[in-house]
Amino acid sequence: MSPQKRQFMLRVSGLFIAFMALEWGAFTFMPREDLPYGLSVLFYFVPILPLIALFSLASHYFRNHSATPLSPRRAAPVRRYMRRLGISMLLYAVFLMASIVALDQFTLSLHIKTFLAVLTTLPIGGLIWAMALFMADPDVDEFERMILTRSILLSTAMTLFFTAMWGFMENFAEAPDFPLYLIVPVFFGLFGLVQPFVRRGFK
Amino acid sequence: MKNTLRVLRAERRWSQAVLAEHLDVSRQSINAIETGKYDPSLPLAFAISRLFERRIEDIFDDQVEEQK
Repeated sequence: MSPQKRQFMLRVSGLFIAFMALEWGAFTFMPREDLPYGLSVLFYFVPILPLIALFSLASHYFRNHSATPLSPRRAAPVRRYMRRLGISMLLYAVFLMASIVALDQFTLSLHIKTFLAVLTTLPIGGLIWAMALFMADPDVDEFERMILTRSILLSTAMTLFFTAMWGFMENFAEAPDFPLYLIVPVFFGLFGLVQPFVRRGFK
Repeated sequence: MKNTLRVLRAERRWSQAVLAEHLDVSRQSINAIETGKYDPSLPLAFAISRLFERRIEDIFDDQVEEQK
C-alpha cells in the first residue's frame, strides 16, 4: 500500500472513530432511567454498531488490496465515497452536538425543535446518498457491487425483521422503548456483520 | 456457469491477480468466476474473450445443449 493511501485510510478511520466516540458521548448524556442499569448500558452500545461496518470493510481492504492495490479507475469511486461519507459524518456530529446544546440551554418553540430534528437527520440522508452514488458508479468493480447489493438487501431485511419484532415486544411484552433513530446504527452494524458471510458464499 | 478460464489462465502461467490486473477487476471476481459461482456481466465476458482471443461460447458453457 502506498504511503498516500495508508495516510488516507488512517485519516478516514480516525475521523470515523472520533465521530463514533462523539456520538457515544452524546448518547451517554441521555441516560435511560426507565431501564435497569445492565440494559441501559447495552443501549449505549447501539450508536457505535457502525464500527462493525468499518472493521469489516477495513479488514477486507487490508486482506485483499495491500498486495494488489486497486487500479486508479477502481480506486476513484472509493475515494469519492469516503469523502462524501466523511463530510456527512462531520455534519451529523456538528448538527447533533449543536441541537443537544441548543435544547439543553434554551427554551425553544416547537417549530425550532422540529427544525433541529430535521437538520440532524439531513446528514443521514447524505450518508444514504453517498452509498447510492457509490452503488450507481460505473467504475465500481461489478463483483464488489454485487456483494454490497446483497449485503444491503440482507441487512435491510434483518433490520425490518428486528424492528417489527421489537415493536410487537413493546406492545405485548413491555420491552423497553427502542428509539426509531437507532435503526440507522443497527442497519450499519448488520451491514458490516453480514458482509463476510455474503463473501464466503462466492469462494 | 462452467468455464475454461482457469485452463486459459494456466496456459499463460498467470496468477488470478495477474489476470485480474489485465481485466481491471478484483482478484475475488476472477476466483468467483472460475469456481462458477459468479457469472460475469456481458461487457466483462467480452473483455475476457478479447484478452484470450477466443469466442465467448468457447470460454463459457451454459450447458443448455446437454439438457436437451
